[in-house]
Amino acid sequence: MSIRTCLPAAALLAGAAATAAGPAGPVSSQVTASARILRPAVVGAGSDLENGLAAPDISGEVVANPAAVTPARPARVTVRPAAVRVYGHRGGSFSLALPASGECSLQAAGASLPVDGFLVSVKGGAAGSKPGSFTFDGLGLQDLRITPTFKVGTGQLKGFYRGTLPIYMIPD
Amino acid sequence: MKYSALILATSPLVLSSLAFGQSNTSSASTTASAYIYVPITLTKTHDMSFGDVFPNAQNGGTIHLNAADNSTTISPPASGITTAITHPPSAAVFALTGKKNAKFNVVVPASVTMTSGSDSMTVDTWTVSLASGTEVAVTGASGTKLSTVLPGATGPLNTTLALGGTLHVSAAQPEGDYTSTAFNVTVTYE
Repeated sequence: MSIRTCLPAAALLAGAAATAAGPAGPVSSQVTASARILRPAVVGAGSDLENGLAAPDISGEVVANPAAVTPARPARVTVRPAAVRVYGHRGGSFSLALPASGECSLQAAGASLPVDGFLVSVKGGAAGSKPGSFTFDGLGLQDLRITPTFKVGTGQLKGFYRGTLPIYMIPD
Repeated sequence: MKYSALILATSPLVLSSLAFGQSNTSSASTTASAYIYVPITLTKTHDMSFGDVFPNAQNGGTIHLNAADNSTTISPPASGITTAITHPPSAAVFALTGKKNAKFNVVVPASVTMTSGSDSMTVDTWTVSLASGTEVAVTGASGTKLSTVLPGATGPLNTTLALGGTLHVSAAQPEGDYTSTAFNVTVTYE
């Protein structure tokens, strides 16, 4: 009602004249608003859930004699990969952001073992639409195995190293 | 009685003028005008979508959807809320026709609630953009309605009107497809 009283006389006259021919202002159109909220988290065994960040436990054991390490005879490192279950929106795809070489290390008593890189394998699910990305399955799940790799140099102490690995999930 | 008194008072002047042969006519020009308003029309082209949103587990915030260019602004920036490129956000768009050079109001609800089951989010702080021009905040209040005035088009008003808004996302907003019920966007000549 207040809208009509604000109309100029000419508009009111035009509105009245247009009534027979069709609609005269004010006119409305209906519209909806929508959004899709996706699960933000990466969850893995032994990990802490925090907004797309998982810190699954990883470990590796240097079993060779460090003094004998040479390029021709590298130290043997046995590694237990991190098993990570990623939850997301069904059919959505994502990529992983992993620490760069040297930014993450495993710790033993008084020693540190830098992580050089990672091998990521997919268990179930499917590869994503672009290299390095993954797609959630019909249940919104994706199981990954993330295995750290190391460059073990001379002087690396033998021992059982363990630590956490920060992983960020980036939606495509 | 008043008319009679007036005639009596002025009659000597009339007689006097006629006696000397002077003209008693003068002229001035004027124009006549009319403003013809064609009915204003508004037809939805597509709905508003904020796209895919990743909430933050600890922090709530807002996502403003720009009516002019569909860009989004997250506030506070460090909230940890992110949008994804899988479903880009898009403002609602309407086809708008009416009288050229006319000003008009846009009226929208004060806020709209989107729901997904028992979960909900609110959209408010609306903005509008005419023909992808600079977005204008929808201000002013009339009951539960808000309105703004857009400048009239310089040519025939046959253009697009886009509607943006601000989505409020709570911390750990539950996953889901959120949709509002249909709400009215109303335009009227100012």
